[in-house]
Amino acid sequence: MIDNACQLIRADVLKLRRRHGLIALAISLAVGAVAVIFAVDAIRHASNPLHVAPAGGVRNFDNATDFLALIGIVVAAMIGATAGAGDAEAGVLRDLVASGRSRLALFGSRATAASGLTLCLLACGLLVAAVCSLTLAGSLQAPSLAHIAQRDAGVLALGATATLVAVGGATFARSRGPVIAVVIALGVIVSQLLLHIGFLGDLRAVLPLAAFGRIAGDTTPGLHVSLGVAIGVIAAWALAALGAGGWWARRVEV
Amino acid sequence: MNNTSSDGRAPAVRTTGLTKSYGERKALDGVDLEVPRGVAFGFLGPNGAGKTTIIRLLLGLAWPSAGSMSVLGFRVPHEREKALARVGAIIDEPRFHGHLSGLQNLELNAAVRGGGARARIPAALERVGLGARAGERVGAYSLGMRQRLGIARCLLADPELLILDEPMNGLDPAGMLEFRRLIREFVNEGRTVFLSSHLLDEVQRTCDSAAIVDQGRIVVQGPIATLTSGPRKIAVGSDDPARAATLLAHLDGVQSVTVNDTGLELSVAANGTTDRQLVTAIVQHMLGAGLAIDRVAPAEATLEEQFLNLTTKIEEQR
Repeated sequence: MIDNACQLIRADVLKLRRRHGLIALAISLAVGAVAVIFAVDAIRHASNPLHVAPAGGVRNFDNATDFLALIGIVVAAMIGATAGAGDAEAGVLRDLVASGRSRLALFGSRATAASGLTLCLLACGLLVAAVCSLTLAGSLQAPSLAHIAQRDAGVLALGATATLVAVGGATFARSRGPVIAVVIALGVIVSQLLLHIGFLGDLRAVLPLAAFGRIAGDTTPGLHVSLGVAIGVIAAWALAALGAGGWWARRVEV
Repeated sequence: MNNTSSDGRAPAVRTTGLTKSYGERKALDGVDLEVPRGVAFGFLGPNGAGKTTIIRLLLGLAWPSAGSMSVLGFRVPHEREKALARVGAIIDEPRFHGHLSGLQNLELNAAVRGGGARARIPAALERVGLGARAGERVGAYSLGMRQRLGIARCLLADPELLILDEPMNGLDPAGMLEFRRLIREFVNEGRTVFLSSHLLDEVQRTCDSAAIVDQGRIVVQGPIATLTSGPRKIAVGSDDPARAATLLAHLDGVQSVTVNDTGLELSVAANGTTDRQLVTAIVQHMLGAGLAIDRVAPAEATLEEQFLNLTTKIEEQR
């Protein structure tokens, strides 16, 4: 049974991996963009070391992970929506369902494959950020391993949640484009706006971006969230996306 | 209905009172259908009659509003996984991931099916003649190749039952011939083929039994030979059809004569006159009257005639 489930997940990973355009874009966003940012800063520092700070260090690492958190939502939206709607868009969903395989197993496999791929790409980006921050720290304080782990956990949790939301949404919509747009709009733009509206107070704690900030050790003015609540918010979003997507996958007529 | 066929096994497909409603509209209205095992079974009906709806219900793609159904003896949708484990299906036009090769598409489907499906891929590709082109992207395949890949995908299940929904749509004559040959091969191997089509001639040539569905109801079902049986008819070609019709209308054993584009068609009364006696009498009378004869041959009733006859009756009853 486990072997069958692994086969199914590998098949879903293959479907995503073979979309060369998607993977190239995701890699360039999650890894390439981070590398370019550090490279530009390093060149600027090398050309004018007295006036431009080194490219590494804690602060630059934090900036890079903040950037990766947002870009991770974009990558997660693309990969999650493609996994969730790819079979339906290609017209093969009914053939898969007609095989007799459990609809929930098919949905679970898509969610697992998409999350795995997104996390792998984000982990690569985080690795680049960590290595650059440590090696290019120069006179600045280098990030500690505990600090790196804390911020990485935040980015990965946010990325995984956004992926599951995209998979669930695309399972419902059976179309990639609108889901990518909605997840990016809500996750990157609307969340940012809401997060900076002070009078919403602690209501903002339900935003995944706020939870990420708390897990990563950031502080948002006027927002008091415990680590437990932040983890709970992330878990609740992930479970809600999985539950809604799974429920729909099980009952929808194809 | 009995629970089992004559060979002791449950029929390949059985539905009882199967109904599917979309709001007020009934796409299927109390369908009772029984598909015996080991035959090619044609499922005929005009567009919108409910053919694809019943297939979607059998495959667990949609849920019935009322009634019950079983596939290979297992209740659907309750025992869907067991029922469909040995079922291969092509629904509408076979679809694949265009960015993957034929082989990769089959590998994906094998992963979903599990079990020994993966090991069956090479044989399935060879059988449909795609072994050499399995590495090419499906996006570059012709419709005929995609149809064959669809059959290969069905074979991954080592199917006891193949459900093919309009599989010959868009195929050229050679492709249709090939498809017909494959279907007969499957039946000879003991598999059951459930062939939904509006191509009546194809069903008559390919299938052993058939059901005609119209307006969500089964109009008739049974062996093709029974469905096409009716009053005996003899077709006669002559240089003067009108005169020949008057002459032959009074012949003993002839019930009625109709003149059509190709000549005459005589309906033969079931009064014991043999075809040989009748043909001899026809020839003697026509030659005696100085009429030239182009042909005298039995006119076979077609499924198309039966189909039109039945569906017309339904329209008239409304």
